[in-house]
Amino acid sequence: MPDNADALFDFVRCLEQVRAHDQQAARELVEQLYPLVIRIVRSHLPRRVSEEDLAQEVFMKMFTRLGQYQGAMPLPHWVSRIAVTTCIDHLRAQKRRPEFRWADLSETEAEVLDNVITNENIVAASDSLAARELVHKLLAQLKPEDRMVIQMLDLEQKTLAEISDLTGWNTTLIKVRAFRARRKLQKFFQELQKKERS
Amino acid sequence: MNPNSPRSTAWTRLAEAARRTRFEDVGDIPAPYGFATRIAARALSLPATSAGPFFVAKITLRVLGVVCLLAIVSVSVNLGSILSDIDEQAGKLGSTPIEAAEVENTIDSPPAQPQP
Repeated sequence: MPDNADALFDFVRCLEQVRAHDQQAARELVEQLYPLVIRIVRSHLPRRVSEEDLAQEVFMKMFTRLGQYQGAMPLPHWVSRIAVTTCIDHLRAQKRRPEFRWADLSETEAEVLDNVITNENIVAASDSLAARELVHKLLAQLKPEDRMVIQMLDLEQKTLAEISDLTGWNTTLIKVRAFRARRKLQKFFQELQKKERS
Repeated sequence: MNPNSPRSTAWTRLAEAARRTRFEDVGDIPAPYGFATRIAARALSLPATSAGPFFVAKITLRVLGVVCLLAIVSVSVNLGSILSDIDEQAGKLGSTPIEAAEVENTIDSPPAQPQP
């Protein structure tokens, strides 16, 4: 999302200079967009991929496709879409998702999972870190696009409009993906409950 | 069972707990030292790509779509006359004993001799 710093920065002038092969302007553009790109990359970082490598890939794509940018949307939105699709491509390339098993969970994670499945009570504040780890393991079971939507909606608490700006997907598609992801998670919790009982 | 219902589910409870851990605020973290310089140098050393090929590809795909649509429409409009033509041709062919003639030809022809 473009913040105040982005609003003050003159992207149009900077882009003109970059197109004229001004290295200083290119450096300024990278520095300006780095927080936006690294925020997306960090929250959707696939396993075994360095965040700096991924950020570098996003910026290289941005520069090579700069000729396609027509200014129909703010530059940060356009770059965030490149970052999102790059993350999705990497998540998709992992192919095999690790199987989620009770046996692979730490003691605290298993306790938290048991708590959320069987009780209606709120998880203790001290177990938040374990809950976060658990969430990441569960999200790894979803399709990359569904995972991205549910993470932005339920964890980062972004609005549909914000997700639409970041990803370029329309709100109906986002709702469909969120519905599909939640249904799969619900089914997954039911299966885990059965396994625990058995 | 609506997964989007506001009622508390295992997922919503877990997500709520996970949200309590503050996600690291990277808003003010600058790019690592030398990162921007390296990217800028590499990016500007690449050959510049123009929007031309992108738009040509986009237009070509649209034209291809329109052509396919026209082909389907023309076939569906003329389907009746095409079928009647096929029927007519089939009727004409039906009067000549093609199969019988082919059988006779195969009987009359001598078996193929192996080449030395």
